[in-house]
Amino acid sequence: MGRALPPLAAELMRRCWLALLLACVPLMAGADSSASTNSKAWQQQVAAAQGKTVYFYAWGGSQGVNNYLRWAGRELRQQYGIRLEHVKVDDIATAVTVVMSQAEGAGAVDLMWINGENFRTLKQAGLLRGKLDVTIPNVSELAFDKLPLNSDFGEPVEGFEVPWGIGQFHLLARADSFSGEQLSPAQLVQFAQENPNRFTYPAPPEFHGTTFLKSLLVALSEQDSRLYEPVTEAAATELLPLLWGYLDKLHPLLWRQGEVFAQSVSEQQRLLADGVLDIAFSFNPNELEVAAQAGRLPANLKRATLGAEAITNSHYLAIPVSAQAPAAAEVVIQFLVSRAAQQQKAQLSGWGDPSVRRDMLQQQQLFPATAELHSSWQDYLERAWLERYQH
Amino acid sequence: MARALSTLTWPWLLVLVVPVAIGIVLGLNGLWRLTDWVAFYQQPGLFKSIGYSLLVAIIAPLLALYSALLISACAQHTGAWRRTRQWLAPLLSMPHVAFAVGLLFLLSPSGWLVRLLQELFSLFPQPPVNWWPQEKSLSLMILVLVLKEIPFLLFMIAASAQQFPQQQWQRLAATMGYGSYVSWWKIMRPLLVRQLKLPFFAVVVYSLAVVDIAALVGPNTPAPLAVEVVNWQRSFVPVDQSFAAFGSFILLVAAAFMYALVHWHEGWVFKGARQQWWFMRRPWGVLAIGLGRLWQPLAVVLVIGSLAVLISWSFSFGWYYPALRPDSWQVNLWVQEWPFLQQPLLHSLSLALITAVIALSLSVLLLEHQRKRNQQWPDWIVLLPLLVPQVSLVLGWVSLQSMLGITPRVWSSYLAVIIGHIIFALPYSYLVLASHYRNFNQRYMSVAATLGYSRWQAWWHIQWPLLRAPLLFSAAMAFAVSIAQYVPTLLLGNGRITTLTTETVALASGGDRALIALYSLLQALLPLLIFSAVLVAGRTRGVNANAGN
Amino acid sequence: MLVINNLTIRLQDAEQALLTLPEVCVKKGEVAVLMGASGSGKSTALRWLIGESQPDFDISGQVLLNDTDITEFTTQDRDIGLLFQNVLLFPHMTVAENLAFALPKRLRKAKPEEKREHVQAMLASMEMADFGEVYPETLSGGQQARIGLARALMNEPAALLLDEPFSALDMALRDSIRSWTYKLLQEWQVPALVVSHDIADSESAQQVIYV
Repeated sequence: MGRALPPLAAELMRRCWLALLLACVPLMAGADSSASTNSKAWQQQVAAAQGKTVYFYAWGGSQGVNNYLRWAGRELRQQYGIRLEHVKVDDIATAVTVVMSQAEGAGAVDLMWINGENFRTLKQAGLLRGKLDVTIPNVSELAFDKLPLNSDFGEPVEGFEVPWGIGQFHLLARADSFSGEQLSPAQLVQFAQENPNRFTYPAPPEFHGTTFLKSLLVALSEQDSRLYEPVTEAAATELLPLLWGYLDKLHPLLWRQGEVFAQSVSEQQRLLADGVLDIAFSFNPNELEVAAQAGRLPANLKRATLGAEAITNSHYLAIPVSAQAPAAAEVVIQFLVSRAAQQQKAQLSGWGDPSVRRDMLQQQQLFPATAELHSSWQDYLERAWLERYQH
Repeated sequence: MARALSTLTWPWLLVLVVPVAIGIVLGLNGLWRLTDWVAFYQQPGLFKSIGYSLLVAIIAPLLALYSALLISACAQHTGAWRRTRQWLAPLLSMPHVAFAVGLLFLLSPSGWLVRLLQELFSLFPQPPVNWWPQEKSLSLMILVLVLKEIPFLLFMIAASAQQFPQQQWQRLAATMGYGSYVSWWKIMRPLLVRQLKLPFFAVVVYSLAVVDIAALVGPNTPAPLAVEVVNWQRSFVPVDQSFAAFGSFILLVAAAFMYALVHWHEGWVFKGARQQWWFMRRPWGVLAIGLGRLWQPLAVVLVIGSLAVLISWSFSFGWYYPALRPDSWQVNLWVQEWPFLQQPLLHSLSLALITAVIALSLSVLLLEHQRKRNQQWPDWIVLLPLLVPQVSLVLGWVSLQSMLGITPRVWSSYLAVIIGHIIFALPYSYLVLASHYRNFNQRYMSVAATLGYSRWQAWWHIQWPLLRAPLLFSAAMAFAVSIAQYVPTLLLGNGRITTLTTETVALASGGDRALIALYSLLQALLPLLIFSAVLVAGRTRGVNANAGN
Repeated sequence: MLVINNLTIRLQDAEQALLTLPEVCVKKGEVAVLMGASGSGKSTALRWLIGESQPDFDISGQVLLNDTDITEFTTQDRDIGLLFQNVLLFPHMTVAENLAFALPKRLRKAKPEEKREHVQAMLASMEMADFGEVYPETLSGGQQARIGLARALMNEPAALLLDEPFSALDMALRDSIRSWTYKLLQEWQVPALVVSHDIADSESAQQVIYV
């Protein structure tokens, strides 16, 4: 895969700071009028799903997400008679391990929230149910043409998972800590020099921590095209010294001199709320408003991208072949990507996760976007970081 | 060892030894992938990680043991065991995670204490950089473990000290010119260290293999080995699975090594009993005694303080440094969460009650069985599940589940979780009960038998009322252990069984303090209520607390 | 009448017998004293007599009670009463409850009033009629000894075993309680076997057996 961000939406590239109105379109759940919604097969599937329980493995660390899934559970019960059980995991890799150990049709997981490495592993092991794009009517409503949804960290989706939402890596910072809506790596070091002990990042292989490294690498190498191809030793030996040189300079200025890092992005945000740090990260473009409304983060924060553009990716829903209620899980997906459900998901008083529906893109407020690195860089960066800074 | 095992009848062998054996054998599956060992050896930070684990496993239990001994030495005059039990109960019953969360809210560089200092003296406009305890440090992890293990060891000391004619010895020593502290230290301490060897070792293994506390308050570059093992286990890269098995194996070896240390320590204490220790001389002796006396108020302050911050946080909305109070108070969170609390609450309660009843029954049956055959099984047979790192065991059972091809359903998961809880609760319930049960004057039962009562009739009419306090306490202990189980509930429950603890730990990975506080609070309240109920219900008219001994 | 035939007690796997008794016969109203130093096996003999299993010993012999061979009977069915040196009243029961607990089986299902009558009659005969509602810990040593005997007799045993019954009492009290006890046993016509190492216990007994 080239340096290309071709499918990456015009919408996104268009400096999407344009804040657009939310929710002026009143909607009815399940009003999607795709042809196949009315197909006999689908109607039979919906009828058969009645009374089934779907175990949905999803990260449980965010109240916004949890409350959203509670809402979804209520709606699903009313509309489809399906019981949705949110199995809260602190890392979806737990669910991947479970799926890998269980036999077809006899597993614990019916539905999972997934992307990147986790998806690639399960897909390549042949453990995911396919043709979701064909079976589930609402998938045709999703913005495959405008957003880079067909490739999940370089792995073709091919109907083995369905897009659910969008993440964009950015910073949350105290309003007075620096000026502007972008922070270059050099400015970050300058900030740290002026304010030692006031910044840290989640230790890779934590997802946000790794993405921080990726963002730095993208900015420091001025978007070197090799970052979007499978990693090679040659590319790594040439590019990584940029990163290490930078981090060697940064680490002594970090919170607790970089002896300890935040365990997770949540912990980093908590340290921000506790006045220990001035900067934290988020993948949710609406985190600033969402957290302030929930009383989790102070209101005097602003957001900024690290470098000129935010690393952008999508997260997905997938069904393992070991699921005990795969057909009902498909109905749940149908609901979760329906307009009503996507609208609810984007509410700032709840989760605030941007929609992936074509008909809702106009309403979103997004950062200028840059693509994910090729997924092979993920593991490589994590291991190299650990070797260098954890010993 | 083989001899001890040969005295077990097969049903007990099945209950006590087989699950542990299965867990160990299956948990180490993957050990034979020799080529992966090289890669494992080169894992960044591996040796530091092992070093952290060993350091914690040595320092925390020793500090806890010696604090507990010192406190007991100071409490000896006032130390009727009932009173000890009364103020130990709240600390004993508090789940580790809730305690750690509370302590963090209280003492961390941005905690209440610092905020109070800022409010009063404007000392810290920003949270102090040099402060103790620091978040995510080895010393904070050790502090949490020490504070949490002291009550358990105090409890075990109170239980085993009854076996010795303490007061007579003390008087004897007094006639030889020894003060009461010195004589206690010289006479009781070596004996107690010997008596407490296995409970102490259980504390060592716990500290070595603890996952939730380490992840919450421990260092992370790298994390202690047990945390790394769970991370490897979670990863689905095949080589990481081997690493999990290797790490598990290293934990087992470390546990064996620790056992050797504990054994050596016991011998050293026995040899050293005659020496004068520096802290027995003035002014250190006075200081040590002062510290020992300080424990009780300190424990009360810490428990009440942690509960208070948990309550405050659960009703808070927007609470940022350096505010002493939140921006506003709200009941919304409770109202909003209440309907969703019911299922985990119900699961936690039912699991804990069933576990408590079964663990107590098994403990009684075990002790009756030994009494009948006039045997005293070595404690390690019952303590076995505590002497092996928990992660290693549970991983083994999980692979047994999938080897047997059990399709996860709600009831089968529930059953698996109950079995897991019982296995880990039984040793505690047994430990708490055994010395009281063995010291029970069996002649009461002989009298009842000659009056024509069957063994179980006599048990119900005589032994139950006379031993009601320790029996209920043993059940309460099993209850509290069950409430606090995280790894077994999560992995054996296949995600079907959500309890307050699985919810708390899942939330603790998020950043919403108010919510974390709410769940931790409930997690702490359940055992607290049970222990209070037991203290009230454990009184029997006409019986003082030591009756039956 | 309590008869013991050919009792031999050995430590498990030992050659030498710890204790042997060719024949002992205690008649109704008689007190026999089994005298011996500690470790002579007399406590073991006593436990064997009430039918408790003792896995550490090899014991052979025969017990007859009123011409019935009770050697294989369970403790519950033997009809032999037991009194220990420190009496062991159940501390969680009042004096009256202790006695009611010891009522013979035929009376246990009786009406509460009837049971109370039996208990009160026994208390009266011990000259302790006012002590029914009291917990044992408040009684003096002498009172406890009396209630202990009352509880043993309450069960109407066919024979009574007393294990060092007076050694826990004050010297001053010991003689008076002993003579009172022996007299009462005679009145009740219960064959009694006292196990003791105190020579004073044997002085007023009808029979003394040294082991």
